[in-house]
Amino acid sequence: MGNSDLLMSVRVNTPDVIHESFDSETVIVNLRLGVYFSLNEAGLPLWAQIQTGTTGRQLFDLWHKTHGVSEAEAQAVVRAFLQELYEEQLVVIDTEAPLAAPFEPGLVATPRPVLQKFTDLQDLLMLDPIHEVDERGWPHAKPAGDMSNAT
Amino acid sequence: MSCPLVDFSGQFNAAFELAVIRQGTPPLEFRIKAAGRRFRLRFATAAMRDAMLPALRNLVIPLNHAEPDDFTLNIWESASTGVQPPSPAWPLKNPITKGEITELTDLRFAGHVSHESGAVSFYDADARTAIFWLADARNLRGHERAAPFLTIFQWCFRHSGRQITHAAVIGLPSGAALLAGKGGSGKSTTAALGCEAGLLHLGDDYCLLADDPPRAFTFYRSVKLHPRSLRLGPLESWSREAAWTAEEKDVLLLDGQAPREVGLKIILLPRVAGAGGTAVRPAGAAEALRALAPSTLFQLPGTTPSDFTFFARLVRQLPAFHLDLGTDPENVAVRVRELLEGVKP
Repeated sequence: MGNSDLLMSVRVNTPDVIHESFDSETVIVNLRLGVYFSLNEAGLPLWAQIQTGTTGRQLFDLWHKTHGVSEAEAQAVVRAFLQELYEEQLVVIDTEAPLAAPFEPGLVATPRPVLQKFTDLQDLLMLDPIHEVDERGWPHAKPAGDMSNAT
Repeated sequence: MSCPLVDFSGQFNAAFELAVIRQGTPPLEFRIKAAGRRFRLRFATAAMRDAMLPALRNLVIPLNHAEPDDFTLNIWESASTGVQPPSPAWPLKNPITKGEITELTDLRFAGHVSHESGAVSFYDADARTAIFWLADARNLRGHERAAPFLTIFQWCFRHSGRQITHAAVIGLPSGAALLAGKGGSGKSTTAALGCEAGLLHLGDDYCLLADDPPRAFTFYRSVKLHPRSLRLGPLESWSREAAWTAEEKDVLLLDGQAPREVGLKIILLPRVAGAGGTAVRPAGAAEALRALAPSTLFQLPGTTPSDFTFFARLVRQLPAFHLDLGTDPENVAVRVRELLEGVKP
């Protein structure tokens, strides 16, 4: 692990991302992308730490102390989790280096943070071609499929 | 120095007044009351009244009601008035998500355009007025008639402790069940079966809630049901009552008078199980939140993180249950009633 992983700062991708934690699950919603997630109980302490703004070092330490695993295992688990959160645009990671280290499942002891993704409502967020107006101009939208004046 | 949105709002309202003049008669006015808020609806044309008012008839109060209006809606169309809306003096270039027109939206104003009918809603929070314009009333889709002015109501109830919610509500005078879940989960069918069995029906598809304490208000009286639901024994007679269609569903208008509001007792998460009797299982608050919040947040324009917080508060206050819908439709309402009578608030 390089120093960049230790020093990177991690925070929730607000205001696009909203969340609520319960005893055994956190519900996370990405308002911009129209997807939502269920984070299991194991991930709750990490998410709670991320909510307040944190660093990679603090997350690694938290997992290491909470689960009594080796530092290498803690780093592998947390790195994989952060990678997933980052790819789903749930967190913002401020670092000059990408999250580099590959996940090494062989090292990882249970439990693990598990992020379950739900995309079943994504089509509710539609982008509207209202800019394709007819000859009368706004707000008269061109009928769907009419590309006669498309440029 | 003039503000472009203030100018645009003035032009939009002036266009409505011109549309009224062109009609040669005063606007057709109605007052409705929902969740304690009074709305004055001013229709420039009979066509718009006939299209938009039926699903709100249950909320109409006398025009001379002593309490003042909270909001005024000016509603018009170009087809029968010949009056076109103004164009903003600036280009509209931003992507439009959920119909939200960002160039017409700031802390005071909000703009929305329907993807389907092209209807434009424009809201002025300071003046507590809104405009609903459409090229032609005949362009309205069935679901827009079933839930008229949905976007405008969403804006008007913002910051009021009331929340328009994608859900259904049925119950008893002593307490009601909030039916949550995505489209196709069985909310509407469960609500209709409950209504047919004598439970109060306070909303289908979109309902109006408060969380402190949890309660539901009478809102739209429309019910949308798929033809396969109308083939269920208890609902067969409903198929003869369809007022219009909305996509593949029939829209019915309920005539019964529900109370203005009823306390919420439970959250039900229906699911079509398809076999056996209808079964009930406890559900967690997080499951209830997943069933309730995203479908509302992703559908309604102008939703904010505070709307999510509303749903989080709601699910923390109410016990939730999975409702696995079996093949016996008569059994559905029985189980809901049992739950409502067995759970203390």
